[in-house]
Amino acid sequence: MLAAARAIIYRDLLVAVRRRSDVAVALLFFVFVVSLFPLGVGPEPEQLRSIGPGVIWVAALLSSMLCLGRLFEADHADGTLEQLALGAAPLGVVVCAKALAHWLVAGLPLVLIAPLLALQYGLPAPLYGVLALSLLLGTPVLSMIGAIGAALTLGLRGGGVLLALLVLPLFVPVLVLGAGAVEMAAAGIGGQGQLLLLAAMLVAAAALAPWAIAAALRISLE
Amino acid sequence: MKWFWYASPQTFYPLAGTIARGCGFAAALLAAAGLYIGFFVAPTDAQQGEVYRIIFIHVPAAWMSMFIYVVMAFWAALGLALNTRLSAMMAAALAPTGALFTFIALWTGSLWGKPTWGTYWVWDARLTSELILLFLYFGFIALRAAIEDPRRADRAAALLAIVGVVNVPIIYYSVQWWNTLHQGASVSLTRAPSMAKAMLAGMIVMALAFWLYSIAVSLVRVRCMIRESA
Amino acid sequence: MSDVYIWGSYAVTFALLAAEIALLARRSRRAEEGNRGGP
Repeated sequence: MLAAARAIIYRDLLVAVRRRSDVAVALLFFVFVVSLFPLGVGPEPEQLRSIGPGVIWVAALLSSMLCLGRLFEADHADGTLEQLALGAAPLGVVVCAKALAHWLVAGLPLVLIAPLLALQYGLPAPLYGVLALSLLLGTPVLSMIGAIGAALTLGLRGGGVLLALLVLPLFVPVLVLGAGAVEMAAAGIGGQGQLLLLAAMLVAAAALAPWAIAAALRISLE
Repeated sequence: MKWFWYASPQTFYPLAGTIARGCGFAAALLAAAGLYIGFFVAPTDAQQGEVYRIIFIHVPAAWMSMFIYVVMAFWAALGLALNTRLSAMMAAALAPTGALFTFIALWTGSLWGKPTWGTYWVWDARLTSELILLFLYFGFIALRAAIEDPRRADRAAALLAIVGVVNVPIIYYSVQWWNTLHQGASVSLTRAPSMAKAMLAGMIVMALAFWLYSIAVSLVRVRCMIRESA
Repeated sequence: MSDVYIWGSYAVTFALLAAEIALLARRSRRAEEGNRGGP
């Protein structure tokens, strides 16, 4: 079982490395969106400092969502997905492996570059840690919830926008907690509460989401 | 085991018609009673004057919006578990009515907010969660519409409804927490702990009216769906 | 003054409910006819 998981992760990462543009797109979109806001709302430092955490989190949300389409489409197109569904490894494990590989490519880079963007918004240095941690805990949850949506909308035309409609309401708690953690830390109160809740969400998602994603895939592949 | 007898669309069809007619009449009567209580029995509010009377629509509609979603998810889960087409049809039949009540709750809440809070929209925890609930309904309806194969549509939307219903309390609490943390001006619906009995009665009667209305409308819709799929 | 809000709320609500009933009635009529006069 673990061997199958490792094989899938390795294969997905290999594909991602070969198609480096996919990885870059996620990261660039994230940076772009974050950089657009000051152009829209004005460069006043006080204002930027107050909206910074929220903007970075929303951008992470949107970037995460954009990458979801890629999660299953390629494998679905060439028939690999059906093979995986019929194969020996439990679909839940397969799905976990794919989601993990997806996060390593689309989520982790966001976590790593976030401090740089926080600098851009003039957030004080002590907040970088909280921001990165909140994203580290939150982006996997987004990947997993998003994977449910991606599995449900597999192969549908108009899939991208439909996926957004399905998945954004479910993202709201993660956004509220993630941005809230940073804002509480900025206010001096400390974001431990939100971070702990995010961790709890991560555990719950890791436990429940694979079942839902696998069920959704089976529904879509029938 | 009477239930499984009615699980067949053909046998359910006439039963649905009878229940729908009965509930429809009852709903109309209760609505008349509720409106009478709301406008002629309930007293003028000390702080808000007459405007508070919007509560007789707003709160029952909000209750219905949430209740219908849960019932919808129930039928969806039943359809997935037992593989019965009719259960999935019931879920689909409930969605438009649920979405409508959600919109009504938002609309009346907004119109209540203007004279009382001074603005049409506030990021009050309840209004915000209600807005997200509307998106959840739209997602369900859109997913069903986007899938051509009826069986896949039923099951995919059912899974979405179940995932959604698990999330509704999470969304509500996270938004409420967010709202209380960000609360600048003190905004709260004036639900004074001791509400005049007539106000409470009016709300409950209207809620019952909306409930019976929902049952009637959903059953008629299911009948249409049964006919259309024949 | 505040009557506008009360009217706006009640009027829109009952208009929407009436619209739902009307659309459903039309759909019901179509479904009945479709099955009787169909091929």
